[in-house]
Amino acid sequence: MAAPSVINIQRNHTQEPWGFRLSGGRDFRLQLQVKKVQPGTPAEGLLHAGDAILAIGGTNAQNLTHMQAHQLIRSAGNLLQLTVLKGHFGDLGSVKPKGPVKFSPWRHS
Amino acid sequence: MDAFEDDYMDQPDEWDREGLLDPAWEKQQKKTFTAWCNSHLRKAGTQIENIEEDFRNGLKLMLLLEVISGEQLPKPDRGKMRFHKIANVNKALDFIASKGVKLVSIGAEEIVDGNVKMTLGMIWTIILRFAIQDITVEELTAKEGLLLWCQRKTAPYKNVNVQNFHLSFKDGLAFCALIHRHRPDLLDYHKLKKENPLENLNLAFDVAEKYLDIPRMLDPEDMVNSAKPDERSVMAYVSSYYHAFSGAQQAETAANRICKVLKVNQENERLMEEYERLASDLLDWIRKTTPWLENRTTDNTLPGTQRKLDEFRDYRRKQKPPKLEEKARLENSFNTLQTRLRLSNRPAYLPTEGKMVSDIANAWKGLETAEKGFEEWLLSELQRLERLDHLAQKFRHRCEIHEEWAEGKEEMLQSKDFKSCSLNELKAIKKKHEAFESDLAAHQDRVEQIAAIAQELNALDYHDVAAVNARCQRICDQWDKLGTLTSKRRQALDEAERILEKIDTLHLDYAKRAAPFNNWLDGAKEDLMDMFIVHSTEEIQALGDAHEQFKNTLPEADKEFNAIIGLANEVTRLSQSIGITKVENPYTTVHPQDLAHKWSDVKQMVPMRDKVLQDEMIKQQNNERLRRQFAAKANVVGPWIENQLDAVASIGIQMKGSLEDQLNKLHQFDKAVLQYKPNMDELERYNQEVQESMIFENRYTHYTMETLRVGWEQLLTAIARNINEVENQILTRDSKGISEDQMNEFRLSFNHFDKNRSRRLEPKEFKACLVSLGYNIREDRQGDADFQRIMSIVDPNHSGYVTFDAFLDFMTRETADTDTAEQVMQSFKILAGDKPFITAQILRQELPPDQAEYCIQRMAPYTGRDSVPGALDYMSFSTALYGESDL
Repeated sequence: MAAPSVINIQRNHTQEPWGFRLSGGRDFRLQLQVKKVQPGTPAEGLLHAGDAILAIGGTNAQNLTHMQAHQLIRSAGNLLQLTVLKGHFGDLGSVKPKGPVKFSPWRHS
Repeated sequence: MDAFEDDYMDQPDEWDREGLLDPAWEKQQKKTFTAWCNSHLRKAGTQIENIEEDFRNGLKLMLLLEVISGEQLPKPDRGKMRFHKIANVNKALDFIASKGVKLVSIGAEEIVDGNVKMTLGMIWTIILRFAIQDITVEELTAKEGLLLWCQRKTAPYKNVNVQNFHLSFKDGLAFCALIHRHRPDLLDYHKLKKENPLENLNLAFDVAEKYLDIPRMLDPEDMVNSAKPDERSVMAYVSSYYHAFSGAQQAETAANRICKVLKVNQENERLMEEYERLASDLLDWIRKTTPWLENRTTDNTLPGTQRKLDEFRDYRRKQKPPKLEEKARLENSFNTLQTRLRLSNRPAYLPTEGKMVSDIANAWKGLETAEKGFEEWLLSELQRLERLDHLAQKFRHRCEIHEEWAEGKEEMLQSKDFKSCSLNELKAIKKKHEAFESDLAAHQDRVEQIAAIAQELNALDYHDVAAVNARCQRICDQWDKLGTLTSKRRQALDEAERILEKIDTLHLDYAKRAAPFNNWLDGAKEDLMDMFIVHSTEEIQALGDAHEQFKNTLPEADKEFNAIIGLANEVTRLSQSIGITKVENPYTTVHPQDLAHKWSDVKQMVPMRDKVLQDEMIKQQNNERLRRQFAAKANVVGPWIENQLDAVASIGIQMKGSLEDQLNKLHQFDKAVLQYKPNMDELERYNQEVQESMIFENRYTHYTMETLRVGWEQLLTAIARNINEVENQILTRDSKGISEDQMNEFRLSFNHFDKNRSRRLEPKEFKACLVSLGYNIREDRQGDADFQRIMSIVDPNHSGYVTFDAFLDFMTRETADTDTAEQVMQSFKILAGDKPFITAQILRQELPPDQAEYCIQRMAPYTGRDSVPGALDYMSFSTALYGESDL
């Protein structure tokens, strides 16, 4: 698995959205992750859909609820530092079978 | 001319070629097209009066195109010269051409010259391109699309049959139906008659003008009077209806989508609340019940303990089964909820702290641990108390005999009789005392036995041990006192012996034989009244045998009795022969009549003992019958339950038939089990009889009531769980549209890897299954990570296994989400008229009251710069529905 990387995102004022959608959290039993990134926003090119969020600033994100993480990111001022695992929740396309699923392979062998 | 040929893409030069136009149609078209143009031009604050005149300079033509396309055209030439006009008309025609329309036969000069046919042809081209072309219903041509729209909308109206855009509209009912379908408040359709075309047309046109902002484009008289109304005019007018209603339709679709999504959320929330409530209730009950089961103390009495056993039986038969059912229902509704959440693309549900399925399972396990051994403990306690009760009775009986014996002995020992008697009498008194001493010695054993029984009662914690101890103490104290008094009297008598010598020997023999015989009689009486407790026919048989042996010794005793009485009679005869009226036997206190009395007692007690033993034999035989009765039934019910359990377990594994067949079969099992319940009740009755008869063992069956109860509950739970599983599979199958064949293929793959037939896959098995189906999960760290991600999808609760239902969902997961936050957001955006916020008023207007209030309560105020008072943030609301948020 890839090593975690530290991402710094800057914005011009605190009313400007960072430009990404957050999903998961301890209350959903799903690791915090980036669901999608809006083009033309501070997050574009830095974050990608499927990135797992390990830490927000100096706070370990493992045990945060969705709302706790949301509040932390919202109130981060104009510089947001995230520790992420790139593409951790990417689509499973690389794993999926090519072509239609072959059923019952043991029957043929 | 064939009016149905005018698909403008194929027939661009039709006007030119035809060269003529039915004058009636031309008149209609002029009216209609003029009105159509004005309905758009009014937005730019102008209008035309004469269609062939007013477009000649090209200026209003360009304005019209700008209004209907929403685009900017090049700046018009302002000059009044002919070439200026031609240039402007050409700019308009170029714009039309730039929209992909070929205008082969229409030239700018003819428009500038006011050619009616050309002008009408050009306007028709514009109408087709800008008002009709966009109407695409199921990829038909624009005209067919508009026709299909009319047919669908008027389908419920029996006297309307739209087949074309001329005769079908002539009686006006089609227009009225279109209006009524969308705005039933505007006209009373059912009062309309086919025979009043003029009235119908006027009504439709008036209403459309007044309420729908569609100007009158057709003339009712023209429609009625012409043999066949002009098709293009009708199309132009109908297209205005389409545009007037399609906006409302779009909002309706958006509202429907929101309703659908919200209903899913509301239903899920309801299920969550229900789960929480059920879980709380069940946990409360378990918390309340467990201490009762953990409390292993009784009041130490037989009735109190019996009452506790009754309470336990009630708990086991009446209280616990419905709670077990509740527990199963809880697990099933949890699974159903998770399936629903997964299917509707929502995050998994996490119950509040302490109410997880595993918490409930643990609490239940705690309950069963507390319950384990409770009944055995109670029964052994009953057995102990019963034995104790019996021992206490024995104690009291022995005490009574002893106390009876001891009665008056103290007074006797303290008697001063020997100081005022003759020598013979003294000798007698001495002998009497010696006899008493041997009697006293013989009673030593009995006193010791009484003390031993009292000690045992103490050791076994008899509830009324205080009284026992007091009585025992009294007897022991008295015994000691008797010992002291006896030796004192012995000394006194010895002292007097030297003086008194004469001995009466006549009574000696009697006394020697009467004492042991009397003692034997006391023993025999004790034995005959001896209490016993037995649990089998063998034991009672042994007691009977002992009694028979005793009876065999009776003839010998009878001889001894007669011999002793013979001695006494001899004394009487001798004393009478010498005239002494009253002769006391100085050597014994045992009177012949005492012996006779006791002997008669013993002879009477023998048949009584026979009866007691016989009754006990009958009771033991009855117990044996109860054992056999229970065993016979249990040996039928037990295997039946085991067979049913096997059969239910094999349904999911064999997968014969469709899911509905399986469900059907399971419901049949459910019914069969329900019908079988009376057999369990019958067994419960037998079991109660067995317990009430104090029967503790049964060698005729290896089933106990408890094992059968557990088996029965397992069966009920297994059926309910299987039904729930199959229902969830049906839910998944139907929502994904999986065929029965595919379903079987999935089932085969799953079962193949479910080696231990647990009906769920462990992670290792699931991984092997995926690999066999072609998934590329490598044997390295990346492969492990991929697999962990898959596990977090199929097992969001970290239960450690994969159910078939989750497997099925994963295998049929579509790449494009069918139900996403984006779609809900888009729908709100339509309702909001493209604004980034929505108001309570719009929500109440577009959604049913229930859903509208749901939204208003949960939506946060909108805080954007373009906000207005009361603006609500539908975007964060939409993402929150899916457990997401924008930052």
